[in-house]
Amino acid sequence: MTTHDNNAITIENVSKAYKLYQSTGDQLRDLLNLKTKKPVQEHYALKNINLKVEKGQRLAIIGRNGAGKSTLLKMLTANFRPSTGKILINGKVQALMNVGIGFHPEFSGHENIRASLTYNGLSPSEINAAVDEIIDFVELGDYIHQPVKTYSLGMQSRLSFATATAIKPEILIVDEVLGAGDAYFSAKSADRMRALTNSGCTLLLVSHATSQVLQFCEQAIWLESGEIIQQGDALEVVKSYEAYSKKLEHEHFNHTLSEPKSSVIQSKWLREKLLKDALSIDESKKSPLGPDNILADENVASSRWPGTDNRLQITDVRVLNKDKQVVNLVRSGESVDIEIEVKANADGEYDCYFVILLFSEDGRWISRHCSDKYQFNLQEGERTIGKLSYKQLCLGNGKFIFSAAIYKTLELDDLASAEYYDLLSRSFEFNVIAKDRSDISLLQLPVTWQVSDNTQELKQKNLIKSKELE
Amino acid sequence: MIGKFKSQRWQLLKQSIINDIHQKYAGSVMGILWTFIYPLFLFGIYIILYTVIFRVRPTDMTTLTYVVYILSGLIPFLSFSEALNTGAGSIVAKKQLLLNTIYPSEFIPLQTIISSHINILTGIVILVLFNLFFNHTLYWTYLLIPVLVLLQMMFVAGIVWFLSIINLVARDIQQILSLVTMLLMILSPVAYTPSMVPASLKLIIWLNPFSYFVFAYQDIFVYAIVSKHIFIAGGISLFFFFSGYFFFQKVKTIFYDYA
Repeated sequence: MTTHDNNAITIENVSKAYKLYQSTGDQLRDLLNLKTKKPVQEHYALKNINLKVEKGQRLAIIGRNGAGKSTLLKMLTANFRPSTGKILINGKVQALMNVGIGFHPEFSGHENIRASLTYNGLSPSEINAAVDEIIDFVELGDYIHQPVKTYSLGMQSRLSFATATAIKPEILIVDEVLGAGDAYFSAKSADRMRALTNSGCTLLLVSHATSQVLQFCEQAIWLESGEIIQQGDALEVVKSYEAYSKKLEHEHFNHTLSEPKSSVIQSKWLREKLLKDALSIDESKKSPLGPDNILADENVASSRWPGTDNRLQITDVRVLNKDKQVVNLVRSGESVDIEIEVKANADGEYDCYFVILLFSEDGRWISRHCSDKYQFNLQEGERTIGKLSYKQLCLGNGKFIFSAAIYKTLELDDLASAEYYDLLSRSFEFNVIAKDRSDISLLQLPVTWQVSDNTQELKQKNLIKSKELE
Repeated sequence: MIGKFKSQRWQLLKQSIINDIHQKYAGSVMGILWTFIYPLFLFGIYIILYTVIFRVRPTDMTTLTYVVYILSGLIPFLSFSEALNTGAGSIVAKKQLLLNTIYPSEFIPLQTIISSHINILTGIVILVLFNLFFNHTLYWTYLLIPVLVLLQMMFVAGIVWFLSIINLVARDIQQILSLVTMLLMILSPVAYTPSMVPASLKLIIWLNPFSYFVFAYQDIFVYAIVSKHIFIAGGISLFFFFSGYFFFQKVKTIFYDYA
């Protein structure tokens, strides 16, 4: 026990194999140690996973469907054992795996909350305290006393999210339960999640939404085919994963154009090649910067996704303040420019769109700036600059991250299939200071206030009235 | 520490049983009243069947005693078969609970069979009152009822721990069970006495473990005696309970992968 005091979860050499049977009869025969009619295949959902999660750490697990994320979480609940390896858990675990554990359609919302909390081991007095708080949160009004079968799907997911998060565990395992309800509710749910995670519990979050990952977790692991591909800072892992997904999407798109319904994504060599590509982004950042390499901020590793046409390349991206000095600290309300310097690797006439995507520090997408199409002739080695100007920067206090890209074709409603020369994803950052340092709002929109001068108007009205009287 | 942990587990089991019973009648107008309507209805049918239509009875019993004889075996049997059938399917039906880290999975079959036995309680109360008003009898052997009911639940629990876990792999168990319980109803000495059965078929009664429970109930309600039956039933239930429990604990993590 003492050796693992600082680790909430220790996973050592864990593998999980599922046997694939040709029939249920074979399944039973194998379990009884009898000979099966057809050979049994084994599918490894997890391969030799090693992981340590410290107390209070917030770790995200990302990966595509079938990567083994849910299997890994399942192993952490005591009822499912790994095939080999060891899992040590230090603390009370609460798993939010399925929406609505223990929900009964004939029970009212109120009864279901109580039933669900009971199954999670709360004492009657704890339940009473939690019930009021949940009812308050879900805002279902009198519906809370109606049977759950009459609820809409949104209402049900609200209820189960609120119920599940009412329990205050030491280790919280969350598997994609955050998509509850409409925009108003997802913001409210995010707040609730934040309150829970800030209370110091260890969090393991599985999510497809990389923005959620960045919002709630500092650390992340990327699983693919049951193996940990990358592990580390959430932003870094998310970037590699996104690069990989984009590549995969691109390959798939290209192939579906040329061949009807090919299963390219399934082919193993292609996946491995793409994985290598995505990870090489990371390796390149470790290599010493060449003269043509991007000089991005030191804190932010650049992740470059070279496009299909490499004749144009981004060589520098810089942020300039109102005095045209290269900086990384700018003031809200002043003019700010972002310049993208582009070099041609071959002579030619180029069609080019400049694109900048702006994100908040927790990964929320703030704005997308796409230029019109520019055409220019460049000799090999010649450079040109695309400049984006904010006349009045309307961002609030904080750190902002942006991606820069140059596209060859750009259909705004179908960015995935657009061809690009060069793309640097979430590779740059700058800090903003607003006039009011204590203001934590994201945006500082330019507005004017107007107050009608009542006293003047009233005086005039009175004058007119008195004149009429005369 | 351990004591507190244990009491928390019992609390959990108790609450989940209450919840199960509650769920059983949720959405019905009569609610919990059904647990009384059901045995009353049975009494009505059997009284009419044997006093008006069949008019057959063993020579050593009055018609009303014969009704008590039948019901003292039938009421436990109905709870037994309900517990067996719902219990065997309980882990499949509640497999979501396996992801719950707090609730012990061996409680899932247990809570189901206990809540299936709610009907036996109301049935027995009615049987006792029936004996009192129509047969003018109140036996001291009634004190043994809680023991016998507990033994019966332990017996079912043991069987259900076996079956519910195997049912994860072979869902045939539930299908087979509905046939078996139908057969068991006829093979248990509920509506007849052993003396009515031809000698060559008596062996079947003695090989059927539930027969001993039926005999023990009849001892309590009809004959007001304590005989070997309750001890045999006790031995059977302890054997099934512990072997079922150890089997369940040994194989559960292997079988849960198939849930």
